[in-house]
Amino acid sequence: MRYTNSFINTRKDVGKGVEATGHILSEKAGLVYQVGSGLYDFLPLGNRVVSNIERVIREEMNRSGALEISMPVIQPSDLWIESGRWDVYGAEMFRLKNREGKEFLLGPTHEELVCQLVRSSLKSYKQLPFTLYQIGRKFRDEARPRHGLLRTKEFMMKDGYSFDVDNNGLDESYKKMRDAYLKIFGRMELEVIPIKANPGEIGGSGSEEFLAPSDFGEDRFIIDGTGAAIKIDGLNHAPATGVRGGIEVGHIFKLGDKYSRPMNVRYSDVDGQERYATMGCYGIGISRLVNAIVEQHCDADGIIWPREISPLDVILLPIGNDENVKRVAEDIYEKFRQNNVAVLLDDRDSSAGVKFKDADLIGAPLKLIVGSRGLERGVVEYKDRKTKKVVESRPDSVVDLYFNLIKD
Amino acid sequence: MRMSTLYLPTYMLDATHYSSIDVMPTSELMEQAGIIRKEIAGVYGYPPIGARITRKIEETLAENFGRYGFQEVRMGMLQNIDEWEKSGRWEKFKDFILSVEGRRKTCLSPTNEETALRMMEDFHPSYKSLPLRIFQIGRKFRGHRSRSGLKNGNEFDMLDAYMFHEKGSLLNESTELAKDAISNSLKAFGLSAYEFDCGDHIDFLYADPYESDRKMLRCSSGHISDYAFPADNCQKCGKEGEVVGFTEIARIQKLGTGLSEMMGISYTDSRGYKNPFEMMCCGIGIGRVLHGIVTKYRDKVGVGWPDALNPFYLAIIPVDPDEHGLIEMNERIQNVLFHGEALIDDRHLSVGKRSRDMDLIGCQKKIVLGKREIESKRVYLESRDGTKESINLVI
Repeated sequence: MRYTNSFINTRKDVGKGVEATGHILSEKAGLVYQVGSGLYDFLPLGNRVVSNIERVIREEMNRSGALEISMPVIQPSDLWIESGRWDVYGAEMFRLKNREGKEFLLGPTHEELVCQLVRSSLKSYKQLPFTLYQIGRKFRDEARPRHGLLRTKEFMMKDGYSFDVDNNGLDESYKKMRDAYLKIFGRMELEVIPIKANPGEIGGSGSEEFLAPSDFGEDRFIIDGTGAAIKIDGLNHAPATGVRGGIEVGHIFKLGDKYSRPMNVRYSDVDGQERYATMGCYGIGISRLVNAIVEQHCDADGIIWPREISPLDVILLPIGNDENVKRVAEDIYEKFRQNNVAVLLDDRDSSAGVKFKDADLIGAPLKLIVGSRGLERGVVEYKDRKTKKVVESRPDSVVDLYFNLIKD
Repeated sequence: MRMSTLYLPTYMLDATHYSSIDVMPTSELMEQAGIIRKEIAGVYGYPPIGARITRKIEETLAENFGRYGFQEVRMGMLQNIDEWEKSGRWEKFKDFILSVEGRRKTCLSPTNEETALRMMEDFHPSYKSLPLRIFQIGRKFRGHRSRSGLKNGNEFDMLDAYMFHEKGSLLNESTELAKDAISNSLKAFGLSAYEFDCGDHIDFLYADPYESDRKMLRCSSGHISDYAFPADNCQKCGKEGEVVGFTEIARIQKLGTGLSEMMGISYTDSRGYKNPFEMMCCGIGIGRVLHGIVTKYRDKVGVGWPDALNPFYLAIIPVDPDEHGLIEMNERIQNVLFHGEALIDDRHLSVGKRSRDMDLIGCQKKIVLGKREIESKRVYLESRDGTKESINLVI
């Protein structure tokens, strides 16, 4: 990508009331554009981050044996009446009517729909267990959207649902998902703390939240003497020392028959008995992950993306108006492209200061600086965004060196 | 892979409606094969096979549009109704838009010209950064009366691209780039579409003998033209033509400067003046691409996916699903015949029912393993057209 043809929009200032680090940087680095209260568009760099997060999630979900499906956003009210949630979900549910006056809602979660899908074909215990997941949009009509992508009306989520014959099976499916979650967050270099949680509106017999420590997170927790994390809710005024904030990036639940019973998801057992399937459900908040990762990976100059999810591999910075500099940079740019390295060539007529500032704000793991003084000595410079370490390279070996640098 | 560990629902043929798969509308065949599933009228979900192929289609489209210089974004599905009033399109389109009851006046995105323009306003480009071409892949919603079939849903997936140019641009370059991105994506699945130029828009159509959207005249030179009864001569070359059913898969549309003017969103030209954008958009229905693929590759027994998409090449059906010799035979088959992973249908169902399902979901080859096959280490490799080849598995 060339900067001059790109739709990259870095900003110097952010609006009033923007205070969380992740929110400030996602606006400044041009990851998102705010459409309205709690509504965001993802610009090209933000979209690349989200796509990379989705790729990591998909790979680990598939590796765990879960199968991807896709369910609609529009859900019929009948199903929510059947599960008993139509009247209890309250003002945060977006509702709509079609031409015929039938009532629908925009899915804040998909237990009802997945139950409908599974009961259409589940007959015998031999079909169990399985875990289904999808990646898509969710909707909640928040009264007070906050901190950019942290609390929005429309957001991206991975939601998964396991179906087992009994609680032993559920324990196994749950553990598989828990392990997959730790791998997913590990690959994103995100520190998370699994913590026993209150199942809330989803319900069920047990659940854990994955909190990413952050000063702007809406959840509070402490680490007790044994090293275990304990959640503190609003009512529980624990000692003020050691209280940390966390962003809830994942939540896993043992649902048991909480939904399969009212939704009538049954199978016939080994002895021919009809039983309700035992369910679990598993969510990851993808939009807020962007925010949580930025909070944990930044400095005064901007974002420092973990490699797996960085929108760019290298930002290529030709400095000055020297024709030779431009020619060498163009040449390197083509080589990167041929090797499928995600490179941004800053071909603007801007000063070195502006280019460095934007490159650090956007935060690719590596910058490659092409300057006339370096070229006199026959070198260009890689600079690591995180360690600030500089490695010199001959212009014709930048690609080989790049693959060596990312090996470490 | 064992069928018992997968969740691949298929649904029974409704014998009262259709005597065989040959005559079934493509949408229904897709439901039978567990590629799509109707959740409510006009709203479909994708079970695993459908989700997997849909992913592949989306990846291929994103790759091609990226290669031709379109930048991927992701816009919200919830839109402020105000924006539609500002662009002057609310009165015209309100009957096709699904409004949402909530704290603000919002609706579900039927298309994104208004929101794309809003992003441009924030970007405030100069003429130097034009043309700008962006696209996204995601859900779209329509409020029309729900009809049956995948193609006219109330909720569906789409790739939509928006192109912004200097006022008065001819748009030839954008048209060619969009055309190439579309046709190269379709080519990856072995599909080709007819381009039908209507002046302000170009439709991409594929011949659809089962479930067509519109009837066109196709002449022996391969031109297609609108079919106006009783004329049956090609409007281009005058040759005689035949009436053929087509389905629309994509459209490129010139939008002019009107929307940009109505919304008061502009770029700065080389002399420093503000000007409205010359806009163009392009849409490809992901479900329609899927529908086109199934239309092309369906046969007498199900959907014979092309190699690039095939979820499962070889199916092994053991007569007794608990047969001890199964693992050893599977290894032999892998060594001698097929080096990938076979789908073993170990469900406790009749061989006939399992065989039907394996055909339906698109396995290219099948092997039924009975006592005799296991003892003799000689099996029949059966193709989708029913031909059998005897294979010796003793090395």
